Amino acid sequence: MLFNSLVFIFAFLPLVLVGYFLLLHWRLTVAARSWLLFASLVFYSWWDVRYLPLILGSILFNYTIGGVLVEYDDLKRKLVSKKAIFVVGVTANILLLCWFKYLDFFIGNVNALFGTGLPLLKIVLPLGISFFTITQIAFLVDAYEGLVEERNLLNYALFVTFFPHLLAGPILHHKEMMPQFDHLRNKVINWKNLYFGLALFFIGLFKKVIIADQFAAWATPGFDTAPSLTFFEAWLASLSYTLQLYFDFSGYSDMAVGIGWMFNIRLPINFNSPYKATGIIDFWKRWHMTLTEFVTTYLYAPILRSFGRITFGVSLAAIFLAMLISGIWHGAGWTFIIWGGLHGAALVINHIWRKRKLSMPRFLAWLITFNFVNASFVFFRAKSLEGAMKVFAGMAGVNGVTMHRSLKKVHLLERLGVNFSGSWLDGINGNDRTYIYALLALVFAVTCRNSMQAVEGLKPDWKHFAVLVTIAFWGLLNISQVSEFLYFQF
Amino acid sequence: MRYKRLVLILAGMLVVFVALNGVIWKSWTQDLITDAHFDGGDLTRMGYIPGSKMPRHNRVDLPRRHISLKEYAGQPVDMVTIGDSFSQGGGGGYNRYYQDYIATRYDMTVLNLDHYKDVDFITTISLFLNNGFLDKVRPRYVLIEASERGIKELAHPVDFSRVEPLETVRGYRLYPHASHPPDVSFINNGNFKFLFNALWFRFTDHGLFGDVRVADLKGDFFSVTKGDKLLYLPYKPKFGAAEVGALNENMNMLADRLSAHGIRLIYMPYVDKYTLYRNWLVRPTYPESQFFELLRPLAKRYQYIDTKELLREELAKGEKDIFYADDTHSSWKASEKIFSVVRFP
Repeated sequence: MLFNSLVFIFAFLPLVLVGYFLLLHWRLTVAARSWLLFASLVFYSWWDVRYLPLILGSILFNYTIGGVLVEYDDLKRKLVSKKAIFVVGVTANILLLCWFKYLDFFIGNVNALFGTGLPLLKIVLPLGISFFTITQIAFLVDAYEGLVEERNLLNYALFVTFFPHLLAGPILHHKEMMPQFDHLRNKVINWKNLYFGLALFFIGLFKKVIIADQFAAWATPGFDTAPSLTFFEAWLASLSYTLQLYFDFSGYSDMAVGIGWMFNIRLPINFNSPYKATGIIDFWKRWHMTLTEFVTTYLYAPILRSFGRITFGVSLAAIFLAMLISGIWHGAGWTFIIWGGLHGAALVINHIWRKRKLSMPRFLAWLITFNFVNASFVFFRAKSLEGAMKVFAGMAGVNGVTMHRSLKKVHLLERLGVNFSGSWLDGINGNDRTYIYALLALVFAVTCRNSMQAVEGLKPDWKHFAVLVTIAFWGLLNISQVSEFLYFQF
Repeated sequence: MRYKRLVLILAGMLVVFVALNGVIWKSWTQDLITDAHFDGGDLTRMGYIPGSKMPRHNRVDLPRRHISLKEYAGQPVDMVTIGDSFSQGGGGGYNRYYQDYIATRYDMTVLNLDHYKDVDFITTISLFLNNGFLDKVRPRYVLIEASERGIKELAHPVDFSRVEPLETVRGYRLYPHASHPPDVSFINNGNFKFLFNALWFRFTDHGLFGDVRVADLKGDFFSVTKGDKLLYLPYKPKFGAAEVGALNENMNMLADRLSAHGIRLIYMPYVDKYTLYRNWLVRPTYPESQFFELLRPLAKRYQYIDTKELLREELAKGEKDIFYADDTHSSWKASEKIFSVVRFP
């Protein structure tokens, strides 16, 4: 089930919300949590019920391993070391992820390297597996390091499956979330939280449905179907994807955090105007923030420790390695590995730049950062290296520069070798709106307050309420869109 | 308490929102936007205009039917046709293929070729001639149909010497004539657009959304609730005598090449809906296309079907539903009229 589906908004969410607070009202705390767990499993199974045993099995396994780690010191008979149990737990999670996510990638590379004809298994990737796996790896690490005290299967299962964060984060820490369910004041409806949660949810829906989906309509043909792209087509395709990804993912995160608020649960925020960043370090402090925290805590720090002694050079190597792994986590393909490597290299350069106390004008820093992020997302989005190269070739002007024929009267452009055509953006199914929207969305992302700041500034007055209602209805109406074009074309 | 009140008001508004969408959907937009119950009707859908909807189902009761290229199994063929959506039964409904009228009335086997993307009809026929396909099929006639709007495509210089193997030509991407409206839920932005367009059409000839125009006719030309309204898509004819001359020359050259193989070329430009009905508009907004007037006097070595003249005769007699009220395409009545008059020598 998706947040931006009508069945979620008008049936699932109200039903779960009302049921949860009614049970709490009757002081049935365990029943209320069970209700939330049941609802979360329904939410997950909506896509394909066959994967329900997978997530349940994963929960049971990790809960058991976590339990053994928590109680290890109290055990009288210690057959294996605590570290061995921990390694088994983490390895099992990684293997599960590898099986579903990376096996075909591995087979493909073996075939390419050794000329073998091993058949691809074409395993369907279960929804949210990357997220619920790393959430549980983090839990095992916390348990291993003695940071977990609670031992309750219902609570643990709810922590993993709580539907607002189940499919795409934010990535949670056990200790961040579960105490909130116990807090007495969180057991009654908080109308302010509910109002702010609804506001954040509808802002997120608007970002996803109105903005991101529009840019997807230009990015998709540019990356997937156009055989080649001219200069402006390529730049607009890459910009469209950069904007689509931000508004889509941050919109989804807004909806997740908003739903959390409705249940009086504060989920961590995931985005803080990342396209305002003036450096790659700054970017990663603003982009997918919970992942950055996870990478720092559970990848960078252990890698650093594994090197033995900590020096600036070693920390740079750890950063690079951590980002490379992060790239692989994002997707099974060389394009993701290159994307992670590029960001790792950029972070290394940025750290050296900082250490040497070098500076540059703020606008230039922003320009370089944004263009780097935009270019790196070409690898992130392209289905293959050839696909990425196609877009880069266009961006470099290899396929020429074509502009709208109305500019033909500007003779300077013609002398510069510019071509003119009425269908200058056909490769991305674009039109005049494409560059106008891209420009507006970029200015909006760079200069305006983000959704979290907007909601914090929300006042319970009619003016703000009217804006909220407009955004809500606009988003809702456009979940299912109708276009006025000829289905039966001449 | 202020937050509680705002949340409850918002919840109430959401309930009303859902109910309103449900009512609009069931009462109007489901039949306008989707093909769940009926076929055809692009213009009422694009303009959200319920009063001109002509509910219909695809049905053929003519005894002889044409065959498509996919169905062709090497049998003798009398006529090969090619054309745009008018040749693909674009209007939908009863006896939607004009080729079936030819097949039935003249007892002919009619083979309709595919419309390929980025290849004009003259070039396609030339390719089928040069690769020997037409020699194999041995039709007596080749009929090219093309909407008046698309004549510029036929006026470009044509490379008649181009040769492509049959498999290559048949592998060309097909022009996407028929695509189905997407599945939409009962809450959709079409309901909202329907409301706004209904309001807008009260004051202007066009809606707030979509390109559909509505004009008043001097009489009832359609058997629908709003039978005196003409729904159409505006277009500016971007051609003049030079383009029409070039088109005619292309047709003549193709006719010469075909006649060398014993095949007669027939060209049937299809009149645009607005052009056809313009004389019966209360206040014509756009100038009339002069395509047919420019083509008529030119010397032709092919058979020419003047759909504008033929169909206007029907309108002058007060015949209804020559074109569908809710569509850019003509109905079976137009096909019947045209092929009851035209003779194939």
